[in-house]
Amino acid sequence: MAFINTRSFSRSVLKQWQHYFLTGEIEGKSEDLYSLLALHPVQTIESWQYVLDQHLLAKPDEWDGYNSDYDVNKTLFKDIQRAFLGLLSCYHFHPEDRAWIFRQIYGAVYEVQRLFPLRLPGEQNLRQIAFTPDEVFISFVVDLWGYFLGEKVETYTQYLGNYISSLIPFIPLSAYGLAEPDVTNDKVAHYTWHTLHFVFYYAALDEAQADDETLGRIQCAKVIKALFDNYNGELGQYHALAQQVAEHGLAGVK
Amino acid sequence: MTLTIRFVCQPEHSSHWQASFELLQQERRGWQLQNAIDPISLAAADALEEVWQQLYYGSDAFDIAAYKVDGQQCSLTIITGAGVAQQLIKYFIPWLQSCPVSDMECKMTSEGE
Repeated sequence: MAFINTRSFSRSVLKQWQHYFLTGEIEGKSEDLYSLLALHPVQTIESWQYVLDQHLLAKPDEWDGYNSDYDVNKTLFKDIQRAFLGLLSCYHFHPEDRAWIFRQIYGAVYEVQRLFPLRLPGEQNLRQIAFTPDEVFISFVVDLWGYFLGEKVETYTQYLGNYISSLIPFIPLSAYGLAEPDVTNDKVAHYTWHTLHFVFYYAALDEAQADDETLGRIQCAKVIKALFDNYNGELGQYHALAQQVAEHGLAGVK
Repeated sequence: MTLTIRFVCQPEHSSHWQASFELLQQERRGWQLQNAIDPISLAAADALEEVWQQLYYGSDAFDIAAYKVDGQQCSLTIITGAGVAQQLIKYFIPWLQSCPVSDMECKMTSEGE
């Protein structure tokens, strides 16, 4: 329950979520979609669907203060997709469990027309996943970046090798350029470029000389680097960028 | 608006007020703050969430610009909008007064005053 450190839950609310975490029972309905999904004691497609159907306050006529034109499900769909991508970070799953949850929702590899496996409340059909490869990949590299910077103690991304490999063809070649890509116009390249610097840097360190924290980063970096090294398609200046990091380290990287 | 609150606490509570103010400033205003207030007053700690429920935007409705606990002399400087400042005077000050404190002063000023 480490997520509570980052929240302003009162004791009574905390008690309510603790009860939910232990039993799957909650009094009435809740608007806290992320906690409903992430704190349910059974993490499966069936239980998440049950949560959406039974516990989520998500029908327009159940919301106070919203007018009838507000498309609850449109917003809800974005939120549910996010819940299983970046926002699970708030709930401190073990990284392998987190990766497993990701695969339940998004699959083992990227598929353009994959259906989101959960039905929205009141809908008959599954919707197609709306995240683009860029959006998913940015979520991964931001997680990795935070890990290499020491802002996170672990990363689930290293357990999603097949998925990352399937996204590499969608990464713009500017991500491998020798100059920093523009953050506004070339966001995915920008974040990838920075993260690759750390990947190259840590992958080159000597495991035998590393403390436990650094050792984890070295091993993660090697896993990620191998995915790119083994890619058979076009990688632009990837090898030149790796050489640049070998010569200059992390100079110029934030 | 700036809300400056001063009061005198009981000598044995100084460190608990210090810890509570620190949590307030760190915006850890839920269970952590309640636990810190427990040694001062269990009832006040439990009642705190009702105070936050009365505020627009809940417990995130204000910032702590400064705080000081010097012996028994406690002071808290809060920055927020005029509406929330009025709500704090209506709900937070009575809550503070429900704690074992004395000589409470509360002054509201706007920028430039």
